[in-house]
Amino acid sequence: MRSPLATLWAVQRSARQRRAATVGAVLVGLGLGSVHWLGFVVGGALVGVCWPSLRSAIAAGFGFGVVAVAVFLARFALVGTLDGALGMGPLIAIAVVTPLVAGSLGAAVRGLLPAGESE
Amino acid sequence: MDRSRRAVLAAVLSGGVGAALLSPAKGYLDRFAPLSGDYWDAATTTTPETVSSAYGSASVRYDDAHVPTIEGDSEAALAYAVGYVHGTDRRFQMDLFVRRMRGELAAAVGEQGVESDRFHRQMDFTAAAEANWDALEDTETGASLSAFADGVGDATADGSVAPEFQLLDYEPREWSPVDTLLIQKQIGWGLTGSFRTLRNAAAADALGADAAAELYPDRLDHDSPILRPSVSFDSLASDVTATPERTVDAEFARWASTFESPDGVGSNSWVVSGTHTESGKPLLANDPHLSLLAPPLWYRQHLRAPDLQVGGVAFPGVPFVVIGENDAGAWGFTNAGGDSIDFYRYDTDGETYRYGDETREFDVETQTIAVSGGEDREVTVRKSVHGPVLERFGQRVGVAWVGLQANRTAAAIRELNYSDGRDEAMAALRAFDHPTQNAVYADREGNTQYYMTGLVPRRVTDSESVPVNQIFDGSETEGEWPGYEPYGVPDRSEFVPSEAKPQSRDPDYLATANQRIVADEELDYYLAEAYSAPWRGKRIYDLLDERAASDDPMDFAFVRRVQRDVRDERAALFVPVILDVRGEMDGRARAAADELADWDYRMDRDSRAALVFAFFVDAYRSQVFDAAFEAAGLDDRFYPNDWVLLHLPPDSRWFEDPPSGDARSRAATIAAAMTDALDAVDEAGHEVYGDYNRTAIDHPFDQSFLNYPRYPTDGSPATVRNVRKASAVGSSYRLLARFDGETSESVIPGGNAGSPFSDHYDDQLRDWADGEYRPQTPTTDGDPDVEFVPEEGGDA
Repeated sequence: MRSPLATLWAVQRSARQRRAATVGAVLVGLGLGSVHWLGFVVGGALVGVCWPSLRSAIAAGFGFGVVAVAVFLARFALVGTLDGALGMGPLIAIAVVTPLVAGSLGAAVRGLLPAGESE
Repeated sequence: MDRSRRAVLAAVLSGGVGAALLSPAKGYLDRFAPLSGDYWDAATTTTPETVSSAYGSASVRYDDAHVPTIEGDSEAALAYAVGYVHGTDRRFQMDLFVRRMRGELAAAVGEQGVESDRFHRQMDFTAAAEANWDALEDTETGASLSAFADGVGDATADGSVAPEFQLLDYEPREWSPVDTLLIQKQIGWGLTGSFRTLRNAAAADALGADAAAELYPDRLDHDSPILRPSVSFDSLASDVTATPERTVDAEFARWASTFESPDGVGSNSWVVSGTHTESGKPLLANDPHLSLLAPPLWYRQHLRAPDLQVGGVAFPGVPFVVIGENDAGAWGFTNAGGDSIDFYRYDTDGETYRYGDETREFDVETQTIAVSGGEDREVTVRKSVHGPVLERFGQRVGVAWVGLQANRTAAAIRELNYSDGRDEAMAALRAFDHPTQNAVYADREGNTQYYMTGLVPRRVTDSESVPVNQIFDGSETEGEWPGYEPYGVPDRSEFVPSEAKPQSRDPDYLATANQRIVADEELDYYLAEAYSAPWRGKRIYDLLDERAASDDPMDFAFVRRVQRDVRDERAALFVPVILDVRGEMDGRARAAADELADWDYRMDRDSRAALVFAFFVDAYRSQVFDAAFEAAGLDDRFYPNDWVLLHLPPDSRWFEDPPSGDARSRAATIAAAMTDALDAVDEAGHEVYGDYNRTAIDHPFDQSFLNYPRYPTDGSPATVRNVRKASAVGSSYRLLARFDGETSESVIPGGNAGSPFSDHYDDQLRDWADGEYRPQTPTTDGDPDVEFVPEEGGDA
């Protein structure tokens, strides 16, 4: 039986498994982010650990942040308030920057784990 | 290497999260983070399509400007739905209005609300509104206010919370019927709560009685009263006598004046009977000049219920249409200027005061002002026989104000909504106890009507009528108001009777613009301390007279043109004076003055002359008064109006022997002002009037993302099309009503939705700035946007 770390390395090595795990992590991260902004850090961490290197993990964490921003703005677009929301100056800036920074920051967790076999 | 990298990463991670959690950033993130931040709820929460109502069935259909048509199976069902709609669209604004009037602003906004709370607690508007509610509770109006309050409460509970509450992190107060009456008190205070008497007394004390008399005349010399013909229109100098016992210092007057409406509150209205119109049917126009706010002071709405079809505007928090039209007629209001407030001094030892032969104790209560993020304050709320006693800077002034009594105004507005022709409308207007308003009415039967609303107190000392332009000696029982009952129900029979108040039945045409209503000699009672300058009133009458004398009948396009008129009568008066003294000017000033020679006095956005004139008036005012007023410790609140300024003759003391500063001829003063004006124009980088005269309508929080956009517009503080940029006052609603089967028109400066996320937050502002209108048409077709269904066990 493989250790959890070995399983994680396997996921990181397999493009298909990595993709599936990343999607799952993004969904979990969005769910957590909907409850509290720290969820974006946790989401970023979950996404990050799916990737084989720190660099790719941070890029994925940033990507998670982009997805979170897209979901955030899409909710406005669906109810017709996107223009109003984009006009919110510093407030919308806080909202957009938060998941980008938090996702990237969380993904840095990847660097705390031992390097996988591919690294 | 790996270990040190991990240490760095761990430090970055823990540092980043820790900093966000432990610093002020946490508060921002809690409110503004995407998906979880409460602030964004208002942008994604939509009004439910179906709402359960204990009051019965109703529906709401919004038009393309978010103006609702609200239809109820009963009056209560309608009122509940209106409350729900107001609570959805304007909840923050309603809460802010009420907090201000209750003196609970600091609990939401912190230190900057403390002085406002101190004043409003001392006035105790809440007790006045509660007395009003006691008188209304068991009436049909009271039932509507109760249903409305429940609608507001349910809208709030359903999640329609305005984003401003998240911005400042506080909760709206629970809405009650008393709050609707507080809104009415607020409007009444804004229109009649004047500290002019105190300011004049302080100015007379500082500048001398003669100078003050010249600056603040009680009557202005003109021949354009509301009711024409009228006689005896000489100006009447104020005869303020400032004895030490009957004055307050400028600091107190300035403090109290902070809680008045800003400069420029006024309005226009006119009616034209079918005798003069193309259609043979009357026309009515009204545009109240009130504070321009984001969101606007008014909420456009159409209401329908059995026996009710009415459309127009209401103040958010009021379930009726205040100005508008129903299926029988249309009505509008302008401020009449009736004196509804008096001031009293007392012989007092602090706890008791002498009142005639008696010694009475003040009614005293100590209240706590809660201050968000600051230290709570205590305020002493003190009352005498006259009402509240304002207390600040070691000075005390008793106040009597008509609006402190229970009144029937809310019921009168409701009756106006239901009125079926002039007789019923007039019955409603006679019950409109407060404030004093010039009401104009016209209907489909061809009737036109003018009537001045509001209780007018008689002032007596020892049963003799007395003039009212000074602080009364309350201990000597001067200036008593028979029938007056602060925080209670007045004996209305003691006030000036309806039949004695200014009115006109079936005028051919009649215009009101806050000018003198009628010659004082034609009234057997004291009505007003002062009226507004007649710039607008004269201009409207000039236009109406000219058209009436022509072969062309008046039509809708004509009244629209009058409402858009931007000829500045100040310029017509004073530009010739400027041109006459060009010899005193330097080359640059003379060239600018030459540009005024061919100007048509229109304050158009693309006019250079209008820009120069607007800046000239400000510069001339400064040149004439700044030195003396600064020396006397009086700020710009004490400056006289432009009528006084521009009518100062060359031999006025303000040129030949000013209280401070050097004597200088009027011509030299004008020349210096022209130079100052050009310097100011150049410094601001303006080319034409529209570069300066732009909408400047701000949200109470004054945040760029909440303030309205800036658009160039036409008009000035003195033109019919009214805008006073400096104090953000102007036409708060423009109504053009007609009875020829075509659609009436209206517009508000902003949008109907209070949410800054909405496309309708400011979607009427451009039209307003450009002098355009929207049809005032109810939306009766299509599926409702919101349906109210009777809840099980409800009243319906």
